[in-house]
Amino acid sequence: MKRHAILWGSLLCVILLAGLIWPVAAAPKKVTLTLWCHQLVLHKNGFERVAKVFTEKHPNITIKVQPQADIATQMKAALAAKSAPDMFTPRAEDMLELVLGRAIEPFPADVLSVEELKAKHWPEYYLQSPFDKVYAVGIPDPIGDAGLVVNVDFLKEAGLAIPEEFESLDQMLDYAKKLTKTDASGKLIRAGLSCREYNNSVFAWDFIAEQGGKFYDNATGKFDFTIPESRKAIEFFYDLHYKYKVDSVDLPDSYDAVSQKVAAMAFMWAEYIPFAKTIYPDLNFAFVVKPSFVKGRQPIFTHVDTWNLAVWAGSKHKAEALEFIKFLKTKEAQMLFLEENPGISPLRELAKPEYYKNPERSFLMPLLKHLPNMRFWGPFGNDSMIKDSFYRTMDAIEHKSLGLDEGLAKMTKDANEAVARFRDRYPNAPKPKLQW
Amino acid sequence: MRSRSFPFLILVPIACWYVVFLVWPVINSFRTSFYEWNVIDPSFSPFIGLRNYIELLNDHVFIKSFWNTIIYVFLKTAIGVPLSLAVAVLLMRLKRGRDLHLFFIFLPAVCAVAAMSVLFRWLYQPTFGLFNTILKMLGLPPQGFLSDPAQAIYAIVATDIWQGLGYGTVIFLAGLMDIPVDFEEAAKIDGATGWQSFFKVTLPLLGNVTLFVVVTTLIGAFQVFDRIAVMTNQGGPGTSSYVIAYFIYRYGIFHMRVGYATAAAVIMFFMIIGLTLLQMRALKPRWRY
Repeated sequence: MKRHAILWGSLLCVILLAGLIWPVAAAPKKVTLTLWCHQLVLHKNGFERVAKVFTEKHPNITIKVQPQADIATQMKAALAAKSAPDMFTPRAEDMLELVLGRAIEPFPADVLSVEELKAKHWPEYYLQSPFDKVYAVGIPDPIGDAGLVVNVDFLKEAGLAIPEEFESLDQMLDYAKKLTKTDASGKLIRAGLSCREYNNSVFAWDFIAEQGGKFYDNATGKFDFTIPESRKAIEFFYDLHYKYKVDSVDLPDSYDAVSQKVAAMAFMWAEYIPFAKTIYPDLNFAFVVKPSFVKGRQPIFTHVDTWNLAVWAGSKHKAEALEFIKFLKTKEAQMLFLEENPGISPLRELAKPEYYKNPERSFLMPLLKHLPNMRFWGPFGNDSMIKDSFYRTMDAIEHKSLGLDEGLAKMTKDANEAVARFRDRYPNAPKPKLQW
Repeated sequence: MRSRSFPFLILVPIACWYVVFLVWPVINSFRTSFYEWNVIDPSFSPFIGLRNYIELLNDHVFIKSFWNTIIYVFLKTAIGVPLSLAVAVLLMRLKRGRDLHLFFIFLPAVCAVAAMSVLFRWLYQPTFGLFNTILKMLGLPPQGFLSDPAQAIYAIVATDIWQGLGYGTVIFLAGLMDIPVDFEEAAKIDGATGWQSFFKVTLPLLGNVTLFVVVTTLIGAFQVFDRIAVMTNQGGPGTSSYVIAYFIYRYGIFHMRVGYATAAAVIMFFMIIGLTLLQMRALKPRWRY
């Protein structure tokens, strides 16, 4: 009798315990993923919007969006400390090193394959990491060097219409001259056209390519900026100061000049338009597509600084993060992002006028027809060092502390050295094949 | 035995702190400077011996940074220290209102460097800035200041001298107040002029104070970074206002060439040590009271 009581009692305990444990084991595990993005509020809003809808579809996964100042540096430091977020937004110029350094997780084919990427996305999204697997998915982002930011009030004041695009350099320079202001002594107090911004080297690269110049040899993997087309392009930016006199090195650089109202027009990244709306709501800017350097030819655009989302190779929640990537590549998620952050979606099917009628995105409408002319220069490895050298050298030329030929030779030397250093470190890095 | 070991025992926590946060990072920096250090994956960091140092010596940006640092340190010390001393001496002679004057002279020293740098960026603005407006009123040609590659570094060091004036003045003033008046009175009785009394009596007695001010000014000038970052467009025009500390930031943090930047830091480390030892020898006080 006593033995039976113990047996029944034990059985009851086991059943009760199983009853307690079972629901816990059966319930899907709740996971919180961290996502680091660029500190731009538009990016943050975009990711939060997509994350919210994603969590509605996957209630067990929540995503914490954490914007970071200077994300590229923060990210590298986090990777070095092996405490990176589950997902983060690398720029195209960092992709090659992140892949070669095994810092980001390759996507399984069912998440995103190279074939799908090539079939559905713009070329720069598969050119940025030339491997047999995909490592990141793009987010809507305006093309960096597509045109000029213009102060609408200044143009109106000068009786100038705001074109959707400049048809020629002559037209653009004519506008610039009319918008330039000098004081009684002839000193420039407002630039008609400013082109002194850290990211502006790509404008020069486009101008070289539009003339048919090739500053990089696909066969040798070497740069050469001493070619005549390159000289002409850089000379143009120098001439803005000393020949056309529509800018002055005494005025602030383009970023500050447009916000301080001392530049009427400036070669600027297109993101400046939505960005300025949030921080300078009293200023009225419009976007004008840049002209080709050669009259009658189609302008070339560069999209070297695409923003992407990648999964950290050391993440403990890769499966959940990849699930989010699967969602982010869809038309639904890209549209959600686009509503918060006006840009060009990596999905080619979204490059249609119907998606750009919204006043927030309409400034990008004139660009749609030019999208097939987008170029991706790279990835060379050490791309940010090449850009840095290019910017500094152009700055030095404009300040007359370096001669034009001397500067072009320096750009060539610096770029080749930067690439050589990278290849020393990663001898197996694929060489870029630029599509001239 | 117990009493002998006690002082060492109580020093253990601070010694540990020093070893972990100072000695070890310094030793590790020396090691890193011999590698092409890869932050993302240190296993891709090949040992390259002296290559970072050789490259630095051939890098025109580093050479420019080196000379700019020398100019900066020299001007800040050679102008800033004597100026602080002169102001302190003048304040010593004030019978009334010394504290009020000292307050105004010291005021910039307590302001944030970044805030002052932003202010001076506006004052130096070539087109609308106050300095050029004054030059114009005086019939003098306007200057480029920060936008002129030949002037940028001088414009920055001038700001630093102005802001650091109060700090040196306060230290010198404290030193001057500490010197017994008997020495100066004795010199006067012996027929010494004011200048003779200052150079032969006061200045030698200020030896320790001068050494302290010179060494701290020199080290501070070597480490200048914030002013360059705020006042210039990323060390520009071009690379005209690069100094070694800014070079280290740009290559180490921005471009993540940690080994290369560390090699530059090691060079700066030896420059500071060398100059400090030299100064301690040259300015070693001969008189004490």
